[in-house]
Amino acid sequence: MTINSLDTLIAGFKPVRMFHKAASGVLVIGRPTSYWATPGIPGPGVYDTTLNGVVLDSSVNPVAGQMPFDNPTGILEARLSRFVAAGNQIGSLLLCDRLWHNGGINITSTALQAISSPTWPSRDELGGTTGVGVNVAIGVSALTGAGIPSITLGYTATDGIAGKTNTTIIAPAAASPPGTFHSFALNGGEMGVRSIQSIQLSASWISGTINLVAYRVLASLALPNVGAAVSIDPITGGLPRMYKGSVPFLVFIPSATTTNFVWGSVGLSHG
Amino acid sequence: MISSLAQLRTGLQPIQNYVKTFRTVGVTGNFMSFWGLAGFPIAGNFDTTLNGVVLVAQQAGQIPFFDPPMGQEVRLARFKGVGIISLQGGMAILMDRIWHNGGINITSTGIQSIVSPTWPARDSEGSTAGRGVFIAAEVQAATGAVSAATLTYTNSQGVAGRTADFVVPAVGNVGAFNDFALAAGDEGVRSVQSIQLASSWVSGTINLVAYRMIESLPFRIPTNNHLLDGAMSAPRLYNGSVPFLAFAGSSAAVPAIGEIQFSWG
Repeated sequence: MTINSLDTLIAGFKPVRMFHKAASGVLVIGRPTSYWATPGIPGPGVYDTTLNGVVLDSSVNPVAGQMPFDNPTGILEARLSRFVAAGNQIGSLLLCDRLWHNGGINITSTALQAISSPTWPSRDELGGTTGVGVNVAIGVSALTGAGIPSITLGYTATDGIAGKTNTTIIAPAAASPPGTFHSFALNGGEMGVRSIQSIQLSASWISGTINLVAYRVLASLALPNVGAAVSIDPITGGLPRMYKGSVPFLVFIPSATTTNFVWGSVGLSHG
Repeated sequence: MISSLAQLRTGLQPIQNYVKTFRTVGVTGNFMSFWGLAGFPIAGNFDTTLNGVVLVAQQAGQIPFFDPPMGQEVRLARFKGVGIISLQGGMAILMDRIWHNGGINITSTGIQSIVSPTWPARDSEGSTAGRGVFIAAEVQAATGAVSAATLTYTNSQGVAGRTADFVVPAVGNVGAFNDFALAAGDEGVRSVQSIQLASSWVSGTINLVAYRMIESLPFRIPTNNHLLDGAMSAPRLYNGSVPFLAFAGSSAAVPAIGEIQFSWG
């Protein structure tokens, strides 16, 4: 089935899901921060502790930290029909699907740390496992130390060609607070990350905890005024598809160092 | 069941207008409730017992809501808001007020035990489990101070002993709707067992409220009309609903004027 008319859209509307989240630590202008592990509605998530990591899937049970997601049944598909948000500072809010994360990264080592990530769940842009539209970020789960490493990711792209490498789009900073979320760049012609083979820091980050996250951006909202809400709907949002097992979470790109709160709602339709 | 635009339109019920006087939100990021405000609808009442009472239509203070004929459901078909003063924007939130209590000792730091009754079947799935039901501490009379607080509850999966603090630091202005966070993995609150204030709030009155968000309406530009219709979202409301409005936005005072319309089908 597919949502191909206003009637099927209306027939498939699911309950609206509220969110109200608080960021932690002092933010850095232009540096993304993830609400995965912060308090609020929904409650905080946790991280894995192994280098190979774990795939995340809500098909059977919700994953702690995720936004509630009503899994479609049978041949039905789920589409994001509405995303409403406001915040106490200007910035950009991303609704993402969290496919995989890991832990156990030695934050003081400059050696190549080998990773053998499992096959992604079938939730890339095309509903496959090749990683189309899947990005990888390095997330901070515990305050880092004074080091300023460059971080190199070793990965296989969606075309199946291994041995690709790249660094974070924004350079890591000393004393990065929990929630800091640095995405890795892709190389020319690449459409996403299929799997991860390694991570390497150019210098010790001294202390703290970092984790890799594989994610796909579902929708974005510009929050242009403090407190003023904005929204996308079935027309303006393009009805992005959310696959069975989705683990939605939020990432914010701030414009100020103010402690940040976001609130709003997400609506789905099944059809 | 409403499964088409035609059915949504056919089942439209009379428009319910709302006009509420404004009050100061307090802090950007905090919610505020129009429940206790004069206007249309009239100001609502509060309970005075710790165990509280479940709420079923019609209640003073609610947006009028009428149950459909047996076999039909109710959907929110239209939600309109108008900003009449050139203030910052915000977000109007239509909520269903499921339960509220009173009798909280505002100066005590002890555990104040609560035995909340079974919720009416109005969680996000139309059951009593509490999925999508959250708790807030609503300020009925301005407090002298604020602090953190610990809410102890049973989650929608039936697991007891869950605890949470406020999502954002509480404020003590009249109408402040200080919502509690959820513990990790929880999707809602099934029942409330206690509240404990971290320090005395000195004076004033607060009440716990169990609520479910029906829908939110963005106010991007303060003086414009803002409209949500059934083609964008048509969330369901269950029999006996007690709809009321909350607002989240800038720290300036905000009025609330607008229309709400339900559809039966």
